[in-house]
Amino acid sequence: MSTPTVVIHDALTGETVVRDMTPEEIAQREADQAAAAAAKQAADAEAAAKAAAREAAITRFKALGFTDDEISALVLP
Amino acid sequence: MTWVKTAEVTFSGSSAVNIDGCFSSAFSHYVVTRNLLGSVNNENLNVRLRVSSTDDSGANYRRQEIDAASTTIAGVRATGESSWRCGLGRCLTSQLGYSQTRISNPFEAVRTTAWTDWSYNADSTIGLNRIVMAHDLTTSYTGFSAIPASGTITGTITVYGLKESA
Repeated sequence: MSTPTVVIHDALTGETVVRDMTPEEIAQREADQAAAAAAKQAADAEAAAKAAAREAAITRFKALGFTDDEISALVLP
Repeated sequence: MTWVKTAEVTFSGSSAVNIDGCFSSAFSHYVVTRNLLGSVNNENLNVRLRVSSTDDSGANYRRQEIDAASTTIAGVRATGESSWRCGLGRCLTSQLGYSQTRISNPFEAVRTTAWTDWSYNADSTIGLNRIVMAHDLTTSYTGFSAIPASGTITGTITVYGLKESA
C-alpha cells in the first residue's frame, strides 16, 4: 500500500506542497480511525438498545388494548 | 457582507489537506466551501484547527448536530473529541458534495465556534444536516486541516473572510 499523502497550502505565499505523511501523521490517522470505529460501535449499540426498548413498549401497550393509532400518538419515533 | 478569498487549494487523492495562514486579524468570521469527491462514499470530512503548521489534535472539540432524513430527525452531541467530526460535511464518490462552514474568531484568543450546513443528495436519497461546533481552548489559530475519516479526497477547498459592507 502506498504511503498516504498530505497537501499543505500556505495562504500567505500561495505555495502548495504535496508530500507523504510522516510516521507521526500516519499514527494520528490510525488513532483517529480507531476512535471513529469505537464511537460508531457505541452509537450503534445505543440505537439498538433504544429500538429494542421501543418495540418492548409497543408490545406492552398492545397487550393493554391500545390501538396502533393510540400507540403511535404515545410512542415518539 | 463581502466575501474576500483568503485561500484556495486544489488537490487530488489526498489523505489530509492542511491550509495555513488563511485566518488572520483582518477578519473575525470566515466561510469555508468545498467541492470534493471522496474515495470512500459518504465518509466524514473532519476538521482540525491549526497553528504554527501543526494540527491541534487535543480532545477539545465539541459539536451538536441535527440530521433530517425523510421524516426522521435525529440529534447528536459529542464533547472531548480530537476534531470536529463532519466539520466539512461528508464526501460522496458519485458527485461533488457541497457544504458551507462558518468559522468565527479563529484568530482571536477566544474560543473558536463554527457551524456547518451540508446536504446529501446522491444515490436516490436526500437529507440535510446542521452541526454547530466549538473549541474549548482560547488559542489563536491561523489555519485548519480537512481530514477524511478514511480514504482520500479530490477537489477544491476555498476560504473566504467576511467583510462588513459600507
